[in-house]
Order: sequence, then C-alpha cells, then structure tokens
Amino acid sequence: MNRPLRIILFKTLAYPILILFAVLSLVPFFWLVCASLKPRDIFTRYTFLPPAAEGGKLLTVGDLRTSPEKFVTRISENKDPVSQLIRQNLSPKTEEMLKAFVPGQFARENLKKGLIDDLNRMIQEMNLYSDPAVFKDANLSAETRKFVGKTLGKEEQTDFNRLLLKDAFPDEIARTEWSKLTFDNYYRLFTQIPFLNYIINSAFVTCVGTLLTVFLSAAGGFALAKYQFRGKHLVYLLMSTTLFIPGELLLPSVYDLVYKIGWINSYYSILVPGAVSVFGMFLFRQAMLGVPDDLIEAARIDGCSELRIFWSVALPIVRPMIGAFTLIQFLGLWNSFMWPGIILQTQEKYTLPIALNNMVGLYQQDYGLLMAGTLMGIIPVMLLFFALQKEFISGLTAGAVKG
Amino acid sequence: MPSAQFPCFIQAFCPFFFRLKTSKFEFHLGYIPLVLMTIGLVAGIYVLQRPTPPRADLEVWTFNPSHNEPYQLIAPDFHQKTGLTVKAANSPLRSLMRRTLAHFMTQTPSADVIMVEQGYIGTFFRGPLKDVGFVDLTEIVKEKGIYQLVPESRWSVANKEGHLFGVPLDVHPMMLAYHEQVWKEAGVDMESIETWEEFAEAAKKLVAMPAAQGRHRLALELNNTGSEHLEVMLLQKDIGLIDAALKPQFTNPEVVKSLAWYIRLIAGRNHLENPDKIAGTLSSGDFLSRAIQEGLLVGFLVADWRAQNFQDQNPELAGILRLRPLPKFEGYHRRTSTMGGTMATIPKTSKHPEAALDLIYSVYLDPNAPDRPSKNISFILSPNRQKWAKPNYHEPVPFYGGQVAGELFISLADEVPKRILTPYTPLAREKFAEALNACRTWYEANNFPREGLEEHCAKVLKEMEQDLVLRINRNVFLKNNQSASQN
Amino acid sequence: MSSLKTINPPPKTEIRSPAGASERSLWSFQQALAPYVLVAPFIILFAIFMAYPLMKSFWLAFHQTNGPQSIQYVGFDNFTFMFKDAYFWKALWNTTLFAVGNLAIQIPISLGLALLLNSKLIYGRNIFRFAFFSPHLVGNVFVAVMFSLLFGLQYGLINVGIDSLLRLPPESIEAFLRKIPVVGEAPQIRWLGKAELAIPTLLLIALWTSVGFQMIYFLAGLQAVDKELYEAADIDGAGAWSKFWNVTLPQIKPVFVFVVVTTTIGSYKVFELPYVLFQGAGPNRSALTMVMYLFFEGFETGDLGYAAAIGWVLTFILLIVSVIQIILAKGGGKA
Repeated sequence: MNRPLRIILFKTLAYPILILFAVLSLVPFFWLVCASLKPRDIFTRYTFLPPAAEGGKLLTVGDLRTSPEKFVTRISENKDPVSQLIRQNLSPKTEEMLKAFVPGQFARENLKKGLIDDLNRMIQEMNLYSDPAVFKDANLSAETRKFVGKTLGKEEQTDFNRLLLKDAFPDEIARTEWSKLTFDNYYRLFTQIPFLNYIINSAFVTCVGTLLTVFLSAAGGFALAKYQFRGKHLVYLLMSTTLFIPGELLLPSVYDLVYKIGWINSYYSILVPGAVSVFGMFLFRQAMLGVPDDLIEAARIDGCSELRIFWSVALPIVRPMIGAFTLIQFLGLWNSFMWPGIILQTQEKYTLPIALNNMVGLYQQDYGLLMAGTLMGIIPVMLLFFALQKEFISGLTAGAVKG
Repeated sequence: MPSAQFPCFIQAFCPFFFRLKTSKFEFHLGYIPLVLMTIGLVAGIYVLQRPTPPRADLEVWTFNPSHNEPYQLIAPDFHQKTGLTVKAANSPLRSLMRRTLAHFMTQTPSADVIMVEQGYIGTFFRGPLKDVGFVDLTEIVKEKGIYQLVPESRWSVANKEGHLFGVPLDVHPMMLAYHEQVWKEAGVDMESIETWEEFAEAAKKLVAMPAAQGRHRLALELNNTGSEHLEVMLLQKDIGLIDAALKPQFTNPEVVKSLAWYIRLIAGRNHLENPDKIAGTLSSGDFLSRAIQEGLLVGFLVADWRAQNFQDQNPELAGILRLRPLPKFEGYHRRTSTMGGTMATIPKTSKHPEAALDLIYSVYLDPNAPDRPSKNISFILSPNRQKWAKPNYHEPVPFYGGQVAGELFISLADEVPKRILTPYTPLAREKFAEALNACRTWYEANNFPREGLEEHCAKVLKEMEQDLVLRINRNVFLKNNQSASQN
Repeated sequence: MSSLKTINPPPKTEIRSPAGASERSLWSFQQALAPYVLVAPFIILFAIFMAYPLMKSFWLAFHQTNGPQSIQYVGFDNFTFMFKDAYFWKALWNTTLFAVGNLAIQIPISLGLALLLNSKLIYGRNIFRFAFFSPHLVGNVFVAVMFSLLFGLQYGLINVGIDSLLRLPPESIEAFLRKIPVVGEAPQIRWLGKAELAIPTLLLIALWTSVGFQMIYFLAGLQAVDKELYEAADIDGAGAWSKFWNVTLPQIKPVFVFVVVTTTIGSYKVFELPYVLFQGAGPNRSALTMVMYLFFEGFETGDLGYAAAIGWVLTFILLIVSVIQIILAKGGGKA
C-alpha cells in the first residue's frame, strides 16, 4: 500500500474512534449540566435540554414519552367522550395508522408524531370545552377551573385547551406546561440545604491541606536530593515502607489513635496525618535533582540560610512539579470521602462529598438537585485543572516514563 | 537579596513578604498557591469564627419527615411547659445509624432523642451491656406507668438481656388489603377465607382470569427477592429468625416448610409456567396505582402505616380496596402480624434524659395531646392504648369503602406477635433473603419440580444457619449472656 | 541511588558568613541542622501516624473490639474466621474480578487511544486529550452520584438511550437488538438492582473514569520512544504490527508496568464508587469490596479488630500482586 492511501485509511479509522470515545467521555457531563438546569417536574421527559418554547407547538413527542402505548390504546379502544372527541378530529392519515396499530405493542414513532400533530392542531384551533359534558368526568384541576365560564381570548383558549387535555389524560400526557431553563435547582441547593457551608468546609480542608502537604513534601524532597546527612537511608527505608502500606490497613488504628488524642470530629485529624505525602517526597526529590548545585552554592556564598535557599532558589525551579503535585493533592483532598466520613460527626462540619452522599439518601427522586450538587463538586477541580493543565501532565508522567 | 542580619529561620519562613511587590502583585511560585492560600485563609476564618449553631436543650434525630414533624409541632408547647428548647433534625436512616454508632463508640455527645428503626436496633446491642449507648429505661418506664400503656408485645424490640433501651412508638398490626371488585369477579368471597391454604387455592381462580393486554394477574404482593413478607408470615407462627437465646431458627422444620410454600407461590414468570404462582411483585416500570386499578395486583399485606399511605398518597384508589384480617395458618390462631416499627431512644450522653422521656411521652403517648392536623382520617394505631378511644379510630373510612379501619386494626392489636431483635437479626434477614433467592432460582431452573423443593430449602437454610452460627459464636461479648432470657 | 553522585559535599569555610565567631558557629549549625529540619515533619508524622498505628493495627488484629473501648484478646480467631467467612471470600472475589476486569478492559483501550493520539496526523490532539482525561478529575463520590442517576431505571440516560435505540431504527435492527438477552423484552435494565450486573456496571464506570488517566501515561511513554528505533525498523522492512510488538512495547515497558501496578492497586482499594453508587453493598452484597467490608466491620459494626485483620490480608495481597507484576516485567525485559 502506498503511503498517502495508508494515511487516509488511518485517518478515516482513527477519527471516528477518537470522536466516539471523546463523545462518550463528555456526554455524561453534558447531561449533568442539562439536568441541573431543568425544572423538577419535566426532568423525566427530555433526555437533554427541554425544547425551547417555540410558538405554536404545544405538545411534543416527549410529552407522550411516559406511556405512549397506553395513550394510543385508550384513544382507540375507549368509549369515553374525550377519547371520542379526539378520535373524531384525527387527520385521515393518523386514523389509518391507528387502525394498523396492534394493542400491546410498541407504538411506532410516526404514529406518535401524527397523534401529537393532531392534538396540537386541536389545542390551537378548537374550543374543546364547547361541550362541557365531554369533560364532566375529567376531574378538572383548580387551575383549569379558573377558565371555566369566562370569555377567552385566542391565547387563553389555547392554554385552556392544553390544561383540559392534561386533566383528561393525567397519566398519559404527564404535564404540558413547560419551562425554559431554570436555576431553580441551584437556588434550592443553597437555600434548602446549607450547601454553601459544605463548600466552605471543603475549600478550607482542601486548600490548607494542599498547601501544607506541598510545602512539607517539597521540603523533604529537597533534603533528600541535595543533602548528605546521617540517617538518610533510614528515611528512604521508612518512605518505602509507607508506600507499601495501604492507608486502609491503618484506618482502625488511626481512628483509635485520633480518638485517644481527642481529634474526633475535628479537621486536625484530616489535615495532620496526611500533611506529608511520601509520593510527593519522591516526586520532589526527583525534580530537585535537577536544581543546579552551582546555584545553591552561589546562594550560600551570598549568605543565604539553607531554608532560604530551599524557598527562594529550589522551589521556583521545581515550579512545574509544584503545579502537578498541587493538583494531585487538591484532587485527593477535595474528593476524599471515607476518612472524613468516619471522623466528622456533626453536620455543620461535613465536607462536600459526605454531604452529597447524604443528599442521595434524602432527595432520591430529586435528580435536578443532586445533579446541581454534583456539578458544584466538579467545577472547582476543573478550574484548577485548566489553570495547571500543562504542569500537571508533565509532572504527572515525569516519574513513570523514566521508570 | 537582604543580607543575613536577621535570624535565619524567621527569614526563611517569611520570604513571602519580601517578595510581595506593591507595584505588581507577584509571587515567585506562581499565582495558584496564592489563590489557594487566600481561599484557605478566608474559608479558615469563616470555619473558625462561624458561630456554632445554638444547641437546643433537647436535640432530636429522626430519619423520616413524618417522624420529624410531630416534634416540630410540639416544640413551642414543650418549651412553654418546661422551659427547654426542642430541635429536630432529619437525616437518611443509614447514615444516621452509623453516626449514632460512631458517637457511642467514641462516647461523644450525640442527640437527646434518637429514633431507631427496628431493623437497626440490634447493631447497638452487639457489645457488652455497658457499651449500649442508650439510657436503660427499664425502671423508669415501669415507674412512670409507660410500660403498661404500650401493648406488651411491642417492648420486645428494645430489649437486650432484659433491659429496655427504647420506647416503642407504634403497634403496627397487619391486615390484608384486597381489590374487592376483582375478587368478586373471580367468584371468591374474601370474607369467608380462613386460612392461607384456602387463600392460595382461591387465588388460583383469580390468577386464571384473563387481564387486559394479555397480562397476568397477581393475587397477592409478595416480594420475589426480599424476605420481609415471609418473615411476616413466620411471625404468624410465632417464629422469629433468631430466638431470644441467640439461636437461629433456620433449620426449624416449620421455617423450611414455610419457605418452600412461599417459593411455590412466587416462583416463575406467570401461572402458565408455574401453576402454583399466585403472588409476586410488579415488574419494574409498572406503576403500582395503575396496576391496582387495572386489577393486575389485587392483594396486599398491609400494616396500619401502609394502609394509611394508600389512603393519603393514592386518592385515585378510593373505594377499590377493602381490609380484612390476615388468613391464619392451619394449626395457628394468629390473624395478624407486624412489619416495620420505630422506637425512640435516649443516648447516655444526654444532659436531660428525664426531659427527653417526657418529650417522647408528650409526642407519642400523652392521651391529652392535640391530634396532628391531617386532611384524611388517620388510623395508624397509637402505642398508647388509652388513645384508641379517640374518634378518628371509630370513623368509617371512605377510602376503604366505609370500613372502620381503626377499629379493625384495634381488634387485632393484642394479637400482634412478639418480635425479638438481636444483634444478628439484620444479618439473619440478609441470609434468609439469600436463601430465598437461591431456592427460588433453583426451583425455576429445575422447571418447578413437584418433589425436592423442601429438601433443597433445608439444605440451603442449613448452610446459611451454619454461617450465622459461626458469626454469633465468635462474638466474645455475648458469649456469657447467651442463655440470658429476654423478658 | 543515582542521587548520591550528584550531591556536593557540605560547604566548608569559604562562605562569606557574617563576622563574629559565635555567629559563625550558629551559621554552620543551621547548615548541619537544615536537612533534619526539612525531613523532621515526615519523621514525626511517620512515627505518630504510621509506625504506632502499624503496631497498633498488628495488635488489634488479634483482638475483638466493640468500638475503641471494649477490647478482648481472641488470638488468631480473626484470621481463622476469615477463612470461613463467606462475605470475606465474596469481597475478595468481587474485588479480584473488578481488578482483572479493569486491566483487561482499560489497558487495551487506553493504549489504543494513546497510539492513535501519538500520531502526528491527528489534529486537535489536545482537545481529545482533555476530553479523555476530564472524567478522571471528578471525584469518586461525584462519579457515583452522577452514575446512579445515569443508570437510573426509568429516566437514566443509559436506559433512555437503549430505549430509543430500540424504538427508532427500522424493524430489522430492532429485531436484531431484541435478540440480545440483556436487552430482552423490557428496555429497562436494572443496572443497580441486579446482582449479576453489579460488577459490570462498576467496570463501565471505572472505564469512563480511568481510561484518560492511563492514556496520559501511555502517551508520555510513547512520546519518549526513540524515533531512530522506528527508522531502523523501517529499514528492516518491519510491518506496523511488528514495529508495535518489537519496538513500541519494549520501549514503553516501564510505563506499562507502572500503569498495570497502579490500576491493580487502585482496583483492590475501591470503596467510594460502589458504596455511594449502591448506597451500601448492592443487591445480595454483589458489590461488596474488600475495603468496603473492612469499613462495614470496623465502622458500621464496631469490630476494629476484624477490620485490622482484613487490612493485613489486603496489604499482603497487594504486596504479592505488585511483586509478581514487577518480577514478571523485569524477567521479560532480560529475556
């Protein structure tokens, strides 16, 4: 195969695969954003965003989504006046499709569409209430009742028709009011729940913890990279031990320890035990090896103290690693759930993940609220990632490539 | 660079200030650490300075809004009467129970009243008696006469080794709710059915009746995968999964028999496949209310709370359902059973345990307490039998076709079986459900054999029991107390 | 350690230190002390939150507790019971299944994506890279909440997607799709309610979160491969497959081993994802993992001793797994 052909072949294969995976990766986010912006009552009816209220179209295919088969069956079988009214006014085409429909089967999409079109036409053009007997048994809602007996304008008439149909088919046409995008979920998130409080708690723990860990780990890494001192091998040994011990093993005993110190329900027990990261020390040692010794020596000759050298000479040189490790640490702390969940006991101290987990139990059906909460938990990390993206990826992979 | 005139350590730790230029904001490690530091500082100041929400004198933890509400309602009155403030907070059951246990393990102050669901009470009884974090109420409830108010059988749930650690808040007798019209169409007179065996026979007629759209009917709602309904039936035979001496009852021949009987009723997809099938759960995606209206599911084991829920949440079902006592089992007399239940407990760390008990009393037991405003007739039985004389228990309920639901439940209240909850009851329930699933799967996979189901059930249950016994026996804290009776 | 070579001997006298003998000794004192000061936080925290708890957890493993107060010595009972404990085996099996599944699914996909993205012919590589990587930024709790809604029975995006896939296309495709047993008659799949689907569901979610993360590593490894090796292979007339097998794979081996080891260890430690997704251990404990079992036993039941024992077994398993993988990698390299 000649080369250009191979390139074309490669591209035609590669792009669809890449795009497919990229879409799969991003669709959940898109759905999350859409869901958090949808009003509570229409959450179930549109997969993504609700259609904008275009003039005229009052019902959409999505409106029949809840149970189109039942609706079709009811219209075609029932003898009640409302069904008959609808049947009488169907367009010939829809009627034909309705005849071909076998009860108990899935309704075909075009049948549904035909029905929707007819219903929309009826809503807009007719005065459905012209014969009140028809809607006698429909259990009119208070909202609908407000219109009864009044002279209605064209638009009011349409609204009234829509409400009438909704009352007549409470299950089949779930709801026909629609709304545009709303920040209601976010509003409720911050008013119903002390969500801001949780965010502040998380921000505090995460920011302080991250800075502490980055600083202390960098200090350790600097000492290991640039000093020859007694007990260095011991430090390496201890560090390797730590790397091999999963944190989960120590959960019960650290819990016991923290209980004895009296740090239960205190942020100390989250910040202090994790204040030095062994992983971070290794990363920083690796990075600090790249700090030129001459530079350090020059600083010493200038009369810089050792800590000053660390702070003013070494740290700026390993800035990419600081960026990478900051993000790693931020991710870990912002998202940490198990240990804070064990330690924190009073509700006002909860961090975001714990609060969100509790919300799942309390607001199970309230998708929009949960989605808004989830999104609030994702955004800060995303922002930080955008700020540190370059440093992060180079720093993250630095160790692994060299082995 | 400033010369090293200053002590080096101070210099090392404050270079931040040297590097801050007033003209141009710049930090030699980039702006991200600065941003984090600022956020950390601001948030830290807020976190440290934030006023701790004023703790009420009596904090109440509930896991359900309907439990929470009465406390909210009574709070002003109670404050007026005793001068103590009351605050009730709601959180999900599972995390509430875990949090409570964590408080007990670390002996930190929790709430003053905690509502505990019956399924979880056992987890607090796992250790030695002294570790139970609740106040021992044995003496005081008898002294104050509360013990006599509540039906005797209900106290068994809060009982560890003869000590009472909570006040039961309900009676929860059970009845059978059925779709009158459909049963009539099937030619079954529900009122005349005496036993479950008769019921199962009669139900076959109903199940055979064709339903809309070629669907199949279910005569009774029984869980296909969970064991709660079977437990309800076992309680009719006075069998709990674990007895007071911590001995699992899985190998009890009566349990084996019941399990096999139950599986015959629920296995398979429809009655064409398994001729014995009369019961089961709705398939996912069906709406309960619609299934009842269409006569697809026409019988329910309901405790008073579920009967009330039907009335309050499904007004469209008005007039469809009727209530009657549960059928008995042959050889047993009990026409009711029990399901669910909550108790109010008082943690040892409470500063006002007596007031907490008073609060519980006034919310749930005080006969003079005003009724909760409700738009429907409320007939959930109060734990205090003195309150059963109230008019709401003696009014006909239109939702149940004018039956006097309250009186029906009251007539069964003293028949409610005693339920024993041990530290291992939650686990036993899980294992029992596992056995149920395993046996049902076996029965379905072997194409519903006439023979051998009992043997298989016995085998599976034996395995499960062995596992359970293994766990119970290794608990060193309960070893000495295994023979202690549970009142 | 290569670090030793690069370290300069501590500076001696030539420093222009402040005048005065006492200050000079203070100066050299701070120089000698500096490394210890820098390492001190690690040493102190190690002693308090690592060494002591490690011993304590060893001690705990031989005790049965009810919270931190009631503790009783039980000898080897925790370990002997563990061998008989059906739930422990279930947890071990689930976790192993999850780990093996993760390796089998994620590694080929992420390596494949990295190979595609490594090609200079692809435009918008940064966009793709960000798209793949972004799920990894979402914490496990948030992922779990999000997916509990995505996998929701009636209105979750995934079931809705399958549902519309079943309805929209012409008859033949629909008939074909209906033959797939999972899809079956009912388009509503109980992702979170069926014991058999618990681990596959978790694997799907794990795939979403970690493919991009692994891909970043593979990509970095691929970019570090010496281009001359490919040119040499071209001269030898090697095909694409042979180049991949003989040049690329050996070259990215360190990265490969790193990714495999971290994925395995990460999978064995999985907790938040199933715990929040199923709000517990899932139907019939089908999503029970080892760390979750440890958590239940230690913090929902109160037996810190048994939890510590489970922790030790987990540690032991992780050690063995990583040692095996590293030895395999090394051995392969020499051969």
